Amino acid sequence: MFSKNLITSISKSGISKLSTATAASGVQIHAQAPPKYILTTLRSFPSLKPQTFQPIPSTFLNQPLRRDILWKAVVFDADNKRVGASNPKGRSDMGYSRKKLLPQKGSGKARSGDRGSPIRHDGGVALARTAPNDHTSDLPKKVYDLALKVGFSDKYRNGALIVVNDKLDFATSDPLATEMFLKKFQLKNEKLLFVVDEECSNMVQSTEKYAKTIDIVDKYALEIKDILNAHKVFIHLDTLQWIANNVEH
Amino acid sequence: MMIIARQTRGQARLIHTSSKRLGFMDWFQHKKDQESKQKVEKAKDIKEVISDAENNRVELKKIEKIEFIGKIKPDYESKPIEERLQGFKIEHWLNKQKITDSSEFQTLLLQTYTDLTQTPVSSLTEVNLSDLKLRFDYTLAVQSKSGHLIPDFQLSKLSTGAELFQYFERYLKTGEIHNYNPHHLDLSKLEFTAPNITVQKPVNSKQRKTKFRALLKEARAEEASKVDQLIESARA
Repeated sequence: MFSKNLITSISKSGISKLSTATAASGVQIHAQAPPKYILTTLRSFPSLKPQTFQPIPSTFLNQPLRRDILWKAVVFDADNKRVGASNPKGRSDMGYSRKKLLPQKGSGKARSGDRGSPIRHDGGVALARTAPNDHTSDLPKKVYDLALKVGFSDKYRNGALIVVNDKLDFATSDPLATEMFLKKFQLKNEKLLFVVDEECSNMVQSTEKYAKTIDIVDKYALEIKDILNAHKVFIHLDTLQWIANNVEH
Repeated sequence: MMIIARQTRGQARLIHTSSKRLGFMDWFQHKKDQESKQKVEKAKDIKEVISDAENNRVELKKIEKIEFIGKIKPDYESKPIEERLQGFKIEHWLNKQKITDSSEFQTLLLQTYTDLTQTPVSSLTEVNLSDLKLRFDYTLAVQSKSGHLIPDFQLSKLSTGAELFQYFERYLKTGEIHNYNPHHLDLSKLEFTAPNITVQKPVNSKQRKTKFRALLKEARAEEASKVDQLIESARA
């Protein structure tokens, strides 16, 4: 003999699944498997002429946009940048007497403590700190790495990631080189980011005039905000590979 | 001369005034000024200037170079351009004149494919770009001739020339690719035309509960009937 209640309880979970699929058809959602790799064009520098295609894993350059992860990474960076120079005086630093100003009862006035009490207009600051104050926050490396991947993926999808196969530097330190480059590719009013892994003194000097719009960042010092701020990101293939090898997949 | 300016509570505020006294030496300076004024040539009458200009009697003084006083030029500006660039050059591969006409772009797509594969095609769907080597050569030629840079993501997704043409119509022609969207909110409608992808309508909680109850009722009835059948078969 089967218990009626038992049968019902067993099939309940199966039924609840069925109930959610009212409009389901025979075809599965997203039946198409996502591509394992995407193509980037390797370009020469400064002509940006395509040299060849370079396949790059989708796990690195085709991550879906996760604004929450980007937000976390940006806040993490901003927290770690804070100097923490605030040094307000506390009740004990004010130099006043520690004596209680009024007796607790019998004066007819409100209760009061000593003169440095934070409740008084000329009292010390409640929860005073002594510089340097530490505002650093923690973020798992996995999350920051994901943010980097999301940032690069977003630039890639918007056509703003330019992977270069030549050395990221100009032949001259003259500002004319930068002007020629910006004019050629109509980049004059755009924020550019050059992620470099070796010395590029010519480019640093040449772009000095455009320091407000052009950022040159070493691969070790790269932050997620740099990537997000830039309209175009120029990166050498080796640098991109180094970042891809250093982030967690 | 003393003037009483204001009377307040018995106090008088006094302002002292006196006429301007010119020094004896000032007279000489005044004279000098008068002499220098006489030397200044009087400007020509405007009618005279106009008549001179009309009869080409005006001599123009050409200034070779305007030099501003106090402006310090950087060292590199005085050098010749070859010395400044030190061999820096940007290879010219992208056409300066960008194609903006759809039919022109379509012809370019077909013609480039024919040139590369030696097989004449009449429609863009016949332009097969599944071969990566061909796709690279083809897209390089299209970019250099059309003057448009095509993003890698589009090149990655390409399989036919028709998709490239769609991209041209949607982004390159309209110039939408150059408009940055800081919030990454793409309000364009996505079209899911692939046969193996379906978008399901959302089911709200009320519908879900109703459906769940109905299914539960049905299941219970079925189970009960099964149990009844089992009992009957056991009896038999």
